[in-house]
Amino acid sequence: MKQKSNIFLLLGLLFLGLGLFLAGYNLYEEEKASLVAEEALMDLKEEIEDNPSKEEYVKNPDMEMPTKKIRGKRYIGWIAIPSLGIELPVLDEYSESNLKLGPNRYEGSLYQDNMILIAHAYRNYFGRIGQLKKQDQVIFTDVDGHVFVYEVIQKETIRKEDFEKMREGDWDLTLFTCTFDNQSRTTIRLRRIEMI
Amino acid sequence: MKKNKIWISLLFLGMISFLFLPTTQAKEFNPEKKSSLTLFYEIEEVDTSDVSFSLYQVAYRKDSKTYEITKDFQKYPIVLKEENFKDLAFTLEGYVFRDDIKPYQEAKVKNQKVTFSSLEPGVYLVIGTAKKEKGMIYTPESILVSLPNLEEDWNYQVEANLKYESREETDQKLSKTVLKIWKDEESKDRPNQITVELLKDGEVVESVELSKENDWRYTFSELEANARYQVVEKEVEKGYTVWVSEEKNTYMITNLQEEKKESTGTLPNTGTTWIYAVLFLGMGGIFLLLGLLTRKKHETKE
Repeated sequence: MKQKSNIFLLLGLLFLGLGLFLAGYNLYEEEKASLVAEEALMDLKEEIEDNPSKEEYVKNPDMEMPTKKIRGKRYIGWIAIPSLGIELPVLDEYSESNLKLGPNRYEGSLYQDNMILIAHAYRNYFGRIGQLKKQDQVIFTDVDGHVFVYEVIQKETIRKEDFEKMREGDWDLTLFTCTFDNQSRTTIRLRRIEMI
Repeated sequence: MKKNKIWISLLFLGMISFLFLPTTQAKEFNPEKKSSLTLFYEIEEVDTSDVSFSLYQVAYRKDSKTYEITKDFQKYPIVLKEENFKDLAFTLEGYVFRDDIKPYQEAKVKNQKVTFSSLEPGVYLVIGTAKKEKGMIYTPESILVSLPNLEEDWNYQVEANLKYESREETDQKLSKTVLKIWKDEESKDRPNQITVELLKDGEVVESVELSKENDWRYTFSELEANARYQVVEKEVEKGYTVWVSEEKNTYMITNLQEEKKESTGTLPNTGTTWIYAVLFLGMGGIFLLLGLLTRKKHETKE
């Protein structure tokens, strides 16, 4: 009987240890990710022109989105979500390693009003986008310095198998990230509004 | 009353048959019958009589629906679609100038018009020479035309008014920007770079690589304003087709991937391992509780 209780206690300590380790690891990863993004954002902002003159995208919305290279990685601009106090640089292409540096362009283009952005569920990435409310604003600045303002229209939860559902509908901008259990994707749909 | 009904149904029948008439007629395409093409080229107060037009056969028309590209143009990755004829004409103009393709027929404007005749069914490209007069340059817009042309019926005597671009002769320089447009849903087959050739009066004068490095755009500057320019994408990636459009001083080179692959799979994982941390912490708590409880039980028993 005493042996049994010892095994329970041992297992309990083991799991507690594992849990604490994982929690620590997650905190470390999140901290690292927000630092990396912060640094890249600073460099990126310096490179973005103040007075955008190139209005090419208005005439040619099909053009490729311009990029800036920061430490070997390509960025298409930066995103601000004021209600969550978030500012992040956005990478041109989606990949596992790019996800550790900031949100990625999953597909589409700002100029064609069909862009989809993906990011990790880190607290300072898209981890809190589920808290966004209707009419909350999201601001995107491209590397030519054009500013686009969006407002939240609706929130969806899409099963990870529903690959096509992410593309469905006519949304100017979409943000998505994993839910807590990783089985679904918290998805925010936005509409472009007039400039402030 | 009855008479009225008969009249109405007769009228109705008449209307129905009228609806069917043009469609049945339109289907009668005669592959043997030759066509003619008359082009009107009028510029106010300008004598266009020494402007010459060259005619190139781009495709044969096999039946009412399909074309077969001719030998001269087979090596170019184009798809003939009527709605795209304007851009395709400019695209092919570039190839004709660069590769010096020989025309099928040539003719000079007379009384503000020019006629080509005995043309077998197909798609034809018309390119004209520029005309300088009184400090102005007039350049006719190249066109692609389908012969015979399907209007209400097959028309074997096609007529068209040619548009032209006019600009002042000047010593000033100008710039032209080229933009790359990909229509391939960010395919993995997209090449990392492509080469664009700039043609000035039929000669390649500059060649530039477009890639992510320059955001797939480039501006040719210090160009002589009085010359005639085209751009050609040097080699088009396999599986893609091309067309070039021009607006003012911007060229857009579009590459379309013809076969779109079906996308499958799941949405990428963007999660954290917080859920496991919480799970482990919970399990740790439960085991500790169990351990403590069993120990207490044991102690009270003793």
